[in-house]
Amino acid sequence: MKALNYLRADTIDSALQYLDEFKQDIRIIAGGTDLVVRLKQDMVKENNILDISRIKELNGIFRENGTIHVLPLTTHTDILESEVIDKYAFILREACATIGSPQIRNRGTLGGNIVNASPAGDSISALFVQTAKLKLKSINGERVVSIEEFFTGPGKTILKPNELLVDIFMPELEENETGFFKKLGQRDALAISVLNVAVKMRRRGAGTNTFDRAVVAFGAVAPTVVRGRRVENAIISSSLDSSKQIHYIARLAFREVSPISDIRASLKYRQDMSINLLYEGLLDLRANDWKRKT
Amino acid sequence: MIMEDFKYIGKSVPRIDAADKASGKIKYMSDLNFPGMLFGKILRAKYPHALIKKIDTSQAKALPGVVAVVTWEDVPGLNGFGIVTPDQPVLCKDKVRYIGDAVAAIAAETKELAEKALTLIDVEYEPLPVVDDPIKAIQSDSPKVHDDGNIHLHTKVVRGDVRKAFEEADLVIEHIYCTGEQEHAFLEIETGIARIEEDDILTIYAGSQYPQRDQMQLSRCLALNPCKIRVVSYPVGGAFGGKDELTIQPILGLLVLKTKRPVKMVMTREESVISYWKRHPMIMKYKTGVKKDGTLVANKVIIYADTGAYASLGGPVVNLAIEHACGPYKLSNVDIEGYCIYTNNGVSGAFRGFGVPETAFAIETQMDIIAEKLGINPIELRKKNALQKGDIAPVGNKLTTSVGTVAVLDGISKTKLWKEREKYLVKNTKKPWIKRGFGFALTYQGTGLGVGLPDYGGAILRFCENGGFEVGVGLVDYGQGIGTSYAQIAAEMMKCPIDKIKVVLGDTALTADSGPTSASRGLYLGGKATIIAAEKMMTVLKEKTSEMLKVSVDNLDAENGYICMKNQPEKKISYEEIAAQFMKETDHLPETEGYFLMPLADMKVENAFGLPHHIFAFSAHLALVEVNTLTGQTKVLKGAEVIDAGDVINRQGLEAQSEGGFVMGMGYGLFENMIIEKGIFKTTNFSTYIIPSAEDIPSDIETVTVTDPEETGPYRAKGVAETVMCATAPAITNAIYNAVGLRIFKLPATSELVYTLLEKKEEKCNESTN
Amino acid sequence: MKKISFILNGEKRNAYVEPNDLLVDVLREKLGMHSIKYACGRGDCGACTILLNGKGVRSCIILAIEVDGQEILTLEGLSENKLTSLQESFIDHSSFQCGFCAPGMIMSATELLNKNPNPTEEEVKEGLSGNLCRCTGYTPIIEAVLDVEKKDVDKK
Repeated sequence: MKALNYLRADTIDSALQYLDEFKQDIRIIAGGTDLVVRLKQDMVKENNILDISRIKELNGIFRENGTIHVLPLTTHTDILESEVIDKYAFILREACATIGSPQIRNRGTLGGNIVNASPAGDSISALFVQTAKLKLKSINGERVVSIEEFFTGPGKTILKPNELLVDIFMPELEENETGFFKKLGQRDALAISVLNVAVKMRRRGAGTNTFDRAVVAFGAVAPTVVRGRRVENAIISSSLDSSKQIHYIARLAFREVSPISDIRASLKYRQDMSINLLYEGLLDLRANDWKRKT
Repeated sequence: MIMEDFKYIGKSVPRIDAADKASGKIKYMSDLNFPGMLFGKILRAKYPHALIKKIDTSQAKALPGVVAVVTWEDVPGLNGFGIVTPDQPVLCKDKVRYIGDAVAAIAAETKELAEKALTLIDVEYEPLPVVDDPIKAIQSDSPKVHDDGNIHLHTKVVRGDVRKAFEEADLVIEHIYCTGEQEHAFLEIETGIARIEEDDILTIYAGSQYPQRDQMQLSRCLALNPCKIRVVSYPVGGAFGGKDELTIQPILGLLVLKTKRPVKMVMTREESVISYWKRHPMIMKYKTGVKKDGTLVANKVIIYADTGAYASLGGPVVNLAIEHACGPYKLSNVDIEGYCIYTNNGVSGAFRGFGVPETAFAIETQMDIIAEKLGINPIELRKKNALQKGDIAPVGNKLTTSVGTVAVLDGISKTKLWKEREKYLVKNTKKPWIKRGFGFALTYQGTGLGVGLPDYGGAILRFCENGGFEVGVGLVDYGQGIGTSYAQIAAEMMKCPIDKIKVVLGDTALTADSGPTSASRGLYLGGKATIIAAEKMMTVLKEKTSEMLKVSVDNLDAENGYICMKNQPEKKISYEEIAAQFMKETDHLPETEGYFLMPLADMKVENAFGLPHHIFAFSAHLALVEVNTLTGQTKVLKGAEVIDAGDVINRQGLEAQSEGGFVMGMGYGLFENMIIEKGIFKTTNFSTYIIPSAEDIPSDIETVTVTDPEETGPYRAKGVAETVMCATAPAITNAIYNAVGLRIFKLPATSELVYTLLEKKEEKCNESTN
Repeated sequence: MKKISFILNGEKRNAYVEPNDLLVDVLREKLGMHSIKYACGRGDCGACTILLNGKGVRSCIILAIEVDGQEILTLEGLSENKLTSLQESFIDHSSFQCGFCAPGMIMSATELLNKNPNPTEEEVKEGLSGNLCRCTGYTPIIEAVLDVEKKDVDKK
């Protein structure tokens, strides 16, 4: 591993100062589960490493006016252990439960998962359907962007070199909202997504199979996580009464994704799985009277 | 039963190394550090196939902190190693044949400096066309990996008249089977440290399966008298065949000789994956003829095995695959041919099963197909053809040792999984796309090296001052538990508490050469040698006691750490006192040695080196699976193994082998897929090369033993370390067929493969109904 | 070189490190904690698992400098006085073959039992899912964890 200059910030302000000072040549480390692997592979061009892991203002989960805030240093384990998340952001919870291993989840942070911008980042699909927003801050000010606008390509985001992700927030899931996160890996645990899908739907009322709102996102099937708008429209405009109908809707996923072939799976398999994983998830949900899986 | 009389044999004795492993105190070779040590690094090839035009090390040598840079010019002896054919250069001179080939090596004051120095070595290459397809490689117009061609070995074994037999067969089944390249994935990467110790002895501490052979190979490469080399290889963090051949040792030795300082070398996982041994990928063409009543009449097999760039044990692997290609079945018309082929796809060598998991997949799928086509119960079909004691095996040898085929087949019905399988096979009405199936497969595995190879066990027994004994066997316990078995045997033989036995393994200075720790031979040969050494030691102790008590040796017996008089057991002398007496008289304690030669078959198969084997262990593997037809994912819900191990020395140890073997076989069957494209490895870590995790294993792996005692074995036992993984994959693929009606002809049966085949099958159905 | 200090197995220790030194190397090579194993170098296998502030983490993908002021427990510290019931259970079940995964396994299982003294089989599998073992097939390891008398596992 190359020589590094290590910097540590204990407040947001000092982190922003460092970021501004070192401009293009600074890289943030939080949990390091991804960054240290990259450092070892000589895949990091920056020479200054800014450790933000001790910034208390960046750690925590709280509710405020119908919104859930998950601050960027929150680890996946924190998310799994949070009752608030379990109640109001369970799709995110389901996604975080599939990330890495318990030891990676103890160390890896939600902010890190977002900023890494892997097309296969499991939490990202969930944040898409939970319509999360991100607050980015620099010494010049702050801005709020939707999670969807944040990514521009694999490993690429709109985050400026002097900006820090300081908040991740999303509306609380409502009583009549349901959904799931589903992942296909090469084995049950410790697997990187071959593909994943997240769904959130608002049911029109008990006893119905109709929904007035739907958000669907696919991971690992395009340069960034992508929304499945055709699928969403089909869900809203029809009644999910039969498995045949659900399959018909799921097949629209085919038009939403543009996967590639790699060592984990072929393009064709990923295409088909984006349909089948969505199909299976919706069938499971229906079998449970559209209630989240417990 | 006879077992009842024993104190340690047949009991679940905890591993003798358990406390050190639980506390973390045990020191592996990679945990050793010596003062003043340097760090070694190896420069690997830049291309999978290229001529070396020039190697310039001047810049690397000039880097402060670099103590030595070595190339082929520095190899003092034979620049080649390889268990059978020393065709692999220690450091390449004019050509590289795979991406892990070693071109130069560095010893430097720090790891970082060694790494930096690697980048300063300038090697000029002329890339050559990459030979990556074994079938194309044997065409005459293929580029050559070695000057004398790409066929390392071609073996053909013919018995009877297959052509005639196929004509007479009622059913002929023909399929092509492909198996993947499996990585050993032992957790302790090839790592070692070496230095010059007292009396100018080059001492190499590195994980290995046969220190005495390493010593011989190293002496050849380093031009050193073997008695000036000591190899220590215990404990080892996993091997499974992957540490049978030399890995880093010759370069490590070279750097120490060059620098006269201790050198440590730690591979990365990625370097380990690209540089060292794997299971041979095989393409196997099978044609099996059978009568309506299920009698097998003919089997024609062609095996193409990709051995990669160098021979190592590729030849013997292919020959063992040939010997086991027909499964444990009676067949008098066979035509079995095998090619061991050089390519630029890494290097293949020994791996648990040694050619048998590959052929077991093929023949056990053939058997399942035949059973279905003929409407015969698959167990009955196997039983009808089962080899039994006195029968002639497919390659022509008469089986005169214990043969557990029928016992194992009968044992299937004793498993809980078999008894309850109907209950588990209920349809999933809530999720009709998830389907369950049950399958099984049978296999067997020869013990030992086979005809034509020196095959012996050796043990030294040292009497200790505390009245205990030290057993020294050259074999290595890299997890199997042979050390514990030797302790059980020594304690039983010497009639003393097991905690008075110390076991020393894998050290050329302290142990007797006992051959390689491979071929399921460790327990059998090391155990037999220990028994012989112990018999001699008992005589020594009794003779000394007879002098001390002034009674005849015939009147003496041994009991719980004492030599006592047969009819006056209270008149006794403890082993400790006997030891004291020896010390008083001679100032040293006696040691005895035991050697045992492996019994061999009474014939040899012409032109098939090492064939046949004489002693075999048998096993049946059972699997209950669940296939998700939407994704192609297969989950093994339950597993079981029925094993004929002869009489069991350590029940807990046997179960451990069975469970571990099943899961390794499951990985082979479902996930493990080393991807190499044009000679370049694509799956070099555990995020891309997938081995089973705790969450992937079945909820239950049952072990049922059926005993066909092996009279020649130590306490009538046989070795099972390999057979326990050999038929797990076909048990699973047969279960997949049972679940979704899909035959798998290619391993691993990944989710994508199963899904793709299911889709094709559906298309075909649609076509035929339209 | 930068001086860092942290609590290692209950004792305050100092070390001089470069910012690019990995925690696994510092603990193994500078501080003699050889129970920690290096087997993949990228957080895939769990052989280097230690407890950092009570939580299981991979020491091969943590920079040593990051743990300044924090608290580390390794297998050496776990068994300083006597073996824990968990370790005893590993011995009873012969939960080892080569034993190379054992230190990481035991640290992960320790964290699991600290959090959840009565885990189900599924919870044990999940808790150990980040620790690869190539020898045992996991069965005797899972059994060992399920069998621990829970009373003194949270003893550090």
